[in-house]
Amino acid sequence: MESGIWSLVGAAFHTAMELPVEKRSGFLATLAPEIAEEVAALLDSYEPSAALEPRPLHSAQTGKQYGPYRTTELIGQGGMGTVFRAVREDGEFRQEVALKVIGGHTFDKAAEERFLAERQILARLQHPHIVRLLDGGIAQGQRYFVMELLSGEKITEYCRSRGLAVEGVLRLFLQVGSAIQCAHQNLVIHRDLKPSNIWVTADGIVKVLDFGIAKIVEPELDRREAVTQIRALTLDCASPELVRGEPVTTAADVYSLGLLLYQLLTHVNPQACGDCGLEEALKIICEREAAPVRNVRPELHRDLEAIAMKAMAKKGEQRYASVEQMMDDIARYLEQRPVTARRVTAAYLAGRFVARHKWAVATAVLVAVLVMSGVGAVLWQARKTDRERQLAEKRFNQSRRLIRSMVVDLQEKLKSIPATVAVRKALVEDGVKYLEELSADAVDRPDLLLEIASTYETLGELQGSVSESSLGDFDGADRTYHKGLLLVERLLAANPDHPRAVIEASRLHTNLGFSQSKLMSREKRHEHQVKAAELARKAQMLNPTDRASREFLATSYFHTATARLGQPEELELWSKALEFFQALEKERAGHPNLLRNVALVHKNLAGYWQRKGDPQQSLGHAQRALFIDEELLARNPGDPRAALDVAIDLNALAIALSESGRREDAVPHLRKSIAMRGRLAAQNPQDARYQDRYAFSLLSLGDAMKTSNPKESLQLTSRAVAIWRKLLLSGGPSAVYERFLGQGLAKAGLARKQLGENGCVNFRESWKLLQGVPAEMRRERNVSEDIAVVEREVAGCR
Amino acid sequence: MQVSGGSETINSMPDITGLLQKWSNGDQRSFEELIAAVYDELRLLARRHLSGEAVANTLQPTALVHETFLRMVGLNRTQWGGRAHFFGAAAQVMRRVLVDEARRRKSLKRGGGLEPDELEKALPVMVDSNIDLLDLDMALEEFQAMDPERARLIELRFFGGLSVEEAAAVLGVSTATANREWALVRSWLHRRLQSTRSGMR
Repeated sequence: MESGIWSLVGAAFHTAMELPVEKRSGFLATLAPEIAEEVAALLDSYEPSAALEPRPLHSAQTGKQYGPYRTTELIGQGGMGTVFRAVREDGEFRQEVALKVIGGHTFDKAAEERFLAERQILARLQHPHIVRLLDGGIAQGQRYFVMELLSGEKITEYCRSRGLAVEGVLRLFLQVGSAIQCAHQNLVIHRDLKPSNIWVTADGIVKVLDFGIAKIVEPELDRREAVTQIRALTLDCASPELVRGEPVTTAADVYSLGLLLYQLLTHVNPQACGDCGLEEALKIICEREAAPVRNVRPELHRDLEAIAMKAMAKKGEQRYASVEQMMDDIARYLEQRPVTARRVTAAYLAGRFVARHKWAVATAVLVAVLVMSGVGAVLWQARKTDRERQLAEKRFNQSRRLIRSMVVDLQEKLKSIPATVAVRKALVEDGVKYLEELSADAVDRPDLLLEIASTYETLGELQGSVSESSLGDFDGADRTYHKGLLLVERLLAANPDHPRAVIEASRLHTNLGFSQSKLMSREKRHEHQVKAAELARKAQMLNPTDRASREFLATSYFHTATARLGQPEELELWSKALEFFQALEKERAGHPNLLRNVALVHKNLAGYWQRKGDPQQSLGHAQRALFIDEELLARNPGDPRAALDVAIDLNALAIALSESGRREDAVPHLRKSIAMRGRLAAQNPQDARYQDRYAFSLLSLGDAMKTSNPKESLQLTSRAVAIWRKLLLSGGPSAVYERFLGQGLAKAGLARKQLGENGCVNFRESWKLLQGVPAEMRRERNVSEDIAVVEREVAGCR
Repeated sequence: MQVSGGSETINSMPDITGLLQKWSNGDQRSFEELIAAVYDELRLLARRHLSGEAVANTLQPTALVHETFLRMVGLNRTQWGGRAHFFGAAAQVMRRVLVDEARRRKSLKRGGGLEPDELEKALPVMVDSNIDLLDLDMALEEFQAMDPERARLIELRFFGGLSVEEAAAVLGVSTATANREWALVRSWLHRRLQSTRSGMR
């Protein structure tokens, strides 16, 4: 064919494809006959040409290596990916797993990072009814997940093949619900709940799989494709919001659960439409209410019908507000109590919602949803709609509040829920980005600038503070603090005595003074410390009776002391801090933060006296700190920070006991401390601080047992060494980790020697590390002792 | 350049990235060099995949091309632009490799010699197993003369093993456009292959 004609044919073909089938012949009639004929032939070929479609990208190859896993057998192939049986073999260890390769190849860095972050979140989902995600990664551009291998049948088949009675079905359904509930509490939405993702093992245990995987595949599809894709995969089980492309929340999972319950009870999928067209299918999902359950199975109880129909409401807000509520209703039915689904008054539901929900978890889930679907979109929308001048202000305040509440307040809440680091990190990074945009708009508004500066400060602390469990992004924290400082300095230039600005500047300098960032030199840090102390005194002078500024000065003494460890003025600084905090605490008896600060100073004093070689003084402070911290932990038993505080006190106590010659008395305290820290480290695998502190206690116990039980001592120190090695690799405050690693290796070498082995490798590495740590650390007594020991040993090795 | 044992190491490779750069700057000669370099590598891989070593496996152009890419260019060293060019080139090379193999296979058959069963099974995997690879190549040749731009889409999808999205990135068009064009060329190809088949009968 001549290419001129061909290009006309091509254009006409595209136009015709956009038209509904019945209108196409009318369109063809308007074309020149030779073109119309060709286009008609091509249109006829379109459907059958699907056979030419190249095979899906994820190749169904077995024997292929994905990271440490080798695929051995193809188990199944679906729209979302290909599932293999696979093995992991290293040495004597062999593990059989299921390996799912998803999507096509990706070479998009952002998508890869998103995938890896998601994997972290999913890996934390541990629940008896959730198929464990063991691993995941990217091999040659293909993303894969590794899951526990399971055998069983789909829940629908299981129920049908065994002719399960209603009660048995509901018991299984409760297991499904508990899995979804656990996921929601961990900020994960399943998004693709359907019978083929819910399996029952031979012993009747439900296993739900593929949590959140739909989300990883979806963002890559554009809107139009998304519909086709969903059609190919899950249209039969999709929620209205999913097919409409709206943000998917936990309510979508509630819908899917309703649909599942309907199917389990009736063996009918009310949403299935066989060969009907896409339009029709979407209409069924979004508009047509399913036939009442009892139209299909009249013998079923009215309550069950009410539960299923409520969960399947087309509008999200008419469904159960949470999976928990839905499962409560199922449980009520099983106990023959009245169900809430049949008593729908708005006030009743609202009251119930508040009563039943722990606020933190509810918000956390909501925010996670927003973050996942992009807070950015929310803000961006807000910006777009306010071209007019007077709306700008409103938007600004909204955005500021949004950042505050989402990023900052929520962090506080998330911090006391274990294992939320990845979510927190994403939140903070988004926060910094939006603050930047906002500060450009607040140039001439001191109050807003201060607000923004203090938010920067909070974000910086979340990224990389030393005193709290942080995300360990020290360079990022540094940059964030400097952004805040820039704003405050601009304010102070215009008004040097602005009290809040003085305080804010001092706080930012304090943080920079503690910076662990590689970007910051020691001299620079010292400059910031001096500046911070100066400003703190100035703030108190501007406002001598004000409690807040006294508290601030006390904090400043505390921070300065921390920064001046080992310097002559250290003890005086601690004493001042203690004096101020105790006075403040007396005024507001029992205030938890003040109490904690008093305990913190005691802890540090215990450390001070230990370094000075006075175990009796040290013991006294450690006991006082422990007394306070145990009280605080009793008030809030689930708070990991409070638990760590107690664990640290126990350690300080043990060290003081051991150094006053009561080594045997020290051991039980150390064991208790280790157990607490081990638990915290396991609950927060990504949180450097908990790992570091765990290692520290292992080392302490190892040291205490070095003569009584050198074998266990070696095991403990080796575990500590391994942790610090890992922390060093992941990049943290390297001087601190190198010091502890060096000390740990020294102890390990000694234990080896005690056992008649050769400790030279350990000693040499230790020597090298300890040579590199900063002079003021080397001056500490226990470090200088270790250095002396190691030097002697290394000399003996030559 | 290493003297022996060459093809497993990047050192022994010609400068693929450099060639890609030149080619994307419009230097046609470097494309020929590129083809020559990539061709050997791909043929080696194809042979290995087609040999008894991978009996139960199927030949996947995607896997081959990606594997080759990783070995020769490395994942982090090029931006997508470089990759796009690579996949464009690789699709053409793959086509040559596969068509050559198919020809060889045919001549073996005709010569009444060995019957390479594994080849038989493995080769036409990226298209419907009823389609003769040589027919496809011929049809594509014809299409190329008429519409070289869209022909690249066919090449990328069948021989480069790329998805519509990936092909769109290589061609620098939106996914939606690539989807529309793919519907057109797929229909054309189907019609053309049907007529070849009926013509032969």
